[in-house]
This record gives sequence, structure tokens and C-alpha cells, in this order.
Amino acid sequence: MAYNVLVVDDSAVMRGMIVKALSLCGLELGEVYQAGNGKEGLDVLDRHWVDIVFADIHMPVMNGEEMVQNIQTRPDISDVPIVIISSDKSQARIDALEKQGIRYICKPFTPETIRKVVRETLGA
Amino acid sequence: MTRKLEEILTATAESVFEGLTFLFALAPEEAVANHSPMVTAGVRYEGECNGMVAVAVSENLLASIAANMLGEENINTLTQEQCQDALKELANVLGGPIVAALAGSRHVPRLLPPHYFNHAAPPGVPTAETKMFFDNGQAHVMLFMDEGCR
Repeated sequence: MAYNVLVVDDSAVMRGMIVKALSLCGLELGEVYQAGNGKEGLDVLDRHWVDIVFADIHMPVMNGEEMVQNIQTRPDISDVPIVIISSDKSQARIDALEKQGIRYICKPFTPETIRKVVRETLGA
Repeated sequence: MTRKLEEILTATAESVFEGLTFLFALAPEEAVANHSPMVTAGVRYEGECNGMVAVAVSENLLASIAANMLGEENINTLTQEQCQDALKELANVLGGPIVAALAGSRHVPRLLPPHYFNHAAPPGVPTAETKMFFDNGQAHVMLFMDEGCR
């Protein structure tokens, strides 16, 4: 089964790294959508079925936490798994996100870390 | 205090350069002078203590950093925008563990979006810094702490 993935990060370089890590971690990828901020990410979710979302926290226009809140209030997409990938190591922030069922990966990450989280999240 | 800060910067910088850019620093005795212009990016942090983590790298080295981060074999295909983006992301990824180490058991400051300074240096004098040397350039990782935080 191929998985559709959405990667949301204002850094095109980081989006490229995440996509590359996903391709290296053995996950069979379907469509890979990219967005530069939370609002653009929501636009993608409005138009396409996505199996998992990887998102940064600090982004212009709409940050990752605002995007998460928006997703969780919408019944049509509230069950899409979300993984936050950030360099922010605030334990309070990590705890708050994990209480909402959001997985958290700290940068820099390895393909193995992505693989472990994807497996645990999707059972892939 | 400064020595401890420099140890934090050095350990974090080595780990992040290896993990994010796949570049390994030379031993100091192997360092070769490099006169390529330096470009800088930084990320401000705000919380109980405010300041900035900045990284300056040789232009030659920046191309290698961007290429490695993107998995691009030919550095000539990289755009200036990609190189700037890579340096900002490097500053961002350095900022996370450095401010977490500074905070210790206290509340970790928030990172603001990274800023590209081009050839200009960030304002002020760094509280601590570390220098790393690579085959094709050097990198300086600097910690700035605002008044009242030192």
C-alpha cells in the first residue's frame, strides 16, 4: 500500500530532507504534497486524501500548532496522523502536543527515526 | 561560565554538523586557513533569557552544506536561495539544542524564525563562540546573550 504524505515546512531545504528521509526509510510513497505554511497545508488537506502529515512548528502565516488545532476541529480530517518535526526542544511544548496525540521528532533526524515513527503511527 | 558555554557550543555544533550536513570537522592541527568570505544566519530565542544563536560559514563551505542537506551531488546546480535556506535551517537546528542546554531544568526559550544576515555580522559581541574547520572552509557558531542574561 502506498501512502500519501503531506510535508509542511517553510524551508524548502528541510522539506526536501524530509521527503528524502521518507524515501530512504522504506515507506512506499504515493503522492507527496508539500506546503510552505499551515494555511497552505490545510488547503492541500481540503483537496487531497493524505495518510500522514509531517509539519514544522515555526512557520509564517499559520504555524504548526495553529494548523494542528484547525485539523483537530474538523471531523473530515481530524483523524489524519500528524508528526511535528522541529528544532524546538521545549519539553512543555512537546508534552502539550503529545497529549493531543501528536508525535514529535527533534531535528536533526535520521531516516531511522522517521521510519520508527511512521511504523508506530501507520503500522507500515 | 564562558568555557562551559563554549563546550556546549562545540559539542552541539559537531553533532549538528555531522547529523544534518554530514560534514565532519577537522582536528585543529589539521585546519588550513581559508579566506573565502563568510555568510551568516541566526535564530533569536526568547524566554527567561533572550539572545541569538548564529552560525557563520565560508561561502565555499555553504555550497557543500546545502548540497549535502539536499542530497544534491552537483553543487553548481544549487541556487542562492537554496544555499541561504540551508544556512537558515542550520542556524535553526543549532538553536534548539543550544538553548535547551542553556536552560537546563528551567523553561526552554522559544526560537523565532531564522534570519539570514548575508555578509553582515549579527549585532553585538558573542558571549561565547566555537570555530570548526573543514576541508573547504570554516564555521563559527556564536551565542549572543542579551544584557541581564549573562
